[in-house]
Amino acid sequence: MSNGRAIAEHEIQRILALVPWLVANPGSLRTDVAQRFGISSEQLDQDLDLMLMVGVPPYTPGDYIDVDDDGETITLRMADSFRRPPQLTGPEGLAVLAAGRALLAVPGSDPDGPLASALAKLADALGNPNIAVSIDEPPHLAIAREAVEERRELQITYWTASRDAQTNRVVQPNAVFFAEGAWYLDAWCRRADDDRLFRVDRIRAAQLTPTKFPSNDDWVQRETLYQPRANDPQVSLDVTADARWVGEQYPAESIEDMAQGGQRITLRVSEVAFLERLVLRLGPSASVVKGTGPTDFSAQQSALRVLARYGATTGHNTMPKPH
Amino acid sequence: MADGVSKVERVLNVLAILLDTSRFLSRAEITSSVVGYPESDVACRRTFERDKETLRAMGVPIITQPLADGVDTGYRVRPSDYFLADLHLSDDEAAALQLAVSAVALDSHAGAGALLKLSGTQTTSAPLIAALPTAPALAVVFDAIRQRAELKFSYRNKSRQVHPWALRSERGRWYLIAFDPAVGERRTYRADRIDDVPTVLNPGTVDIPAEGTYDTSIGDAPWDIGGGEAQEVCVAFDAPHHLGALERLGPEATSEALQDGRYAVRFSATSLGAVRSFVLGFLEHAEVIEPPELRESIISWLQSIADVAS
Repeated sequence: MSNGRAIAEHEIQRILALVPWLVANPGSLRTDVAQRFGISSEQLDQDLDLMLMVGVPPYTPGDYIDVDDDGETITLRMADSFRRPPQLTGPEGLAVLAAGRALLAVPGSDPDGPLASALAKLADALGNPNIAVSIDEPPHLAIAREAVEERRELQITYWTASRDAQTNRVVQPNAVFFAEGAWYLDAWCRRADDDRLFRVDRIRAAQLTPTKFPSNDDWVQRETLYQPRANDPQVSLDVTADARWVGEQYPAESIEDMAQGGQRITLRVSEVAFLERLVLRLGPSASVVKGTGPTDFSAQQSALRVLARYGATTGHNTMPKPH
Repeated sequence: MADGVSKVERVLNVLAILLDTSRFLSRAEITSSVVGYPESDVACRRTFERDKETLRAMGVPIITQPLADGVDTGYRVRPSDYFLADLHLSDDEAAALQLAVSAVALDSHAGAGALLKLSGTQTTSAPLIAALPTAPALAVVFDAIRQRAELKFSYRNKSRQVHPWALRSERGRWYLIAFDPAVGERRTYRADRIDDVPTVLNPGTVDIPAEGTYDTSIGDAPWDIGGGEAQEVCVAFDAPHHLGALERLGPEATSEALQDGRYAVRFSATSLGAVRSFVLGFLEHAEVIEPPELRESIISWLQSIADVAS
């Protein structure tokens, strides 16, 4: 889609939502309308001017949308064709239904509150598609959220899977959120003297301390779990059509379409092991573009190292003896 | 652009006339009524085609029918198909949806568009509570379910044509639950592994069983997705990597210490391709012991990478 076409579509969609809203709310304040629809006062003027040009046959003066704008309030008449907003598109219906179902699945949500009743009405209007979001509740989720809410330090015992080690830490929690199927605690860790991301289901014990901590103005909400740093090496992968998910799943620097549905995906990688896992899993669906990636990375060496685990390359199977 | 009439103005007028009419209108009737179409017949036809595409891309249900002259196509939009039903949302309900769209990251642009239509409200700057994954095929799958249509797509390099029943978001992924008439069974597919843009076919023909009358469980692990016979798998892990594996495999998996210090982890799986991907994620810290065909396939998989890269 060209950019010009996207802009035109965006404007049309805004006007198709704006007209029925103005019809339903005669005498609305201009400032309120502009704020609701996220547009400037000038843009609102342009939109209203455009509405004056919209009509139906036989196009007598009474067949055009009538805009009454006294500089402060707006009233719309004769907008019968657009008296209601258009149906939700597939992406719109999915976005709002899935978001609502997800929030309703968050532990602590009111299953009989306004969100639940709004979703029931919405699902009904969409033909009641069977769609559900499940979000689990790890044992220490509630206390972690309480710590964020009250800005109190939290003492945790945290299990690190890769080292099978438990550590005791005091953290200042900034946020708790659910992403990629797990709950995360984003906190400043005293022990590390840095911001850390903890998986809530790996917190083995948690206790709220009486110590309050000030709000941290430097803290910014993460946009993705994995945040590449600007000086991480870049790697370009040529993937076949069946591995296009790579560009969706990881924050890509760039994605170029190639022949037969393939793509050249450029990523930043902070550790070689991440790239090794990705390339070995993708196998014949991906190849690393020569000259990119960390200098100590070689798909061949990685594959040979894992192959060595299998002993002779015949694949002969000897079951190791149990204790 | 003719006579300074913008595309936005022209398209809005086309939509107005299509909604206003009680009969099917020919292209000539539309383009001669609406201001802004080029004089030349070829350019006019092309512009009208583009405007029609713009409207359809936004989800406007333009329907067609051959006209009485037997030559031209007639167009109209039924208001009942076009208008969003009034949901009669209370202020609290509108605010709750607004919070949901703001606090749950999915596709903020589509969510924001929906809010404007539903209640004339915008997203707010609420802190993020949950991020749901997206997949390019998701919106089309959702549309097919809504339309009770069949869905054709490519999955793990194989073409499938199924009756989509339900969507589930679990463990950070979207799953499609569908009936596959070719095998006569209910199957589960990962939405992010659909390789192409699915095609929606034969709307209104799929009978979706009532909710609760069919199994919507996803199974305990990604390696149970896609159907097929369950097989026993045994993987030897270096300590402590078996702990991370057990955490992901769930309570069904068992673990046993081996003489060489490693741990044998056993579980059942239907998709050996998914197990291969899982095991390779542990690099040299995991070795498939059983079944033999999985062991062989991992070895040849790795050998092909080693050969290609040399």
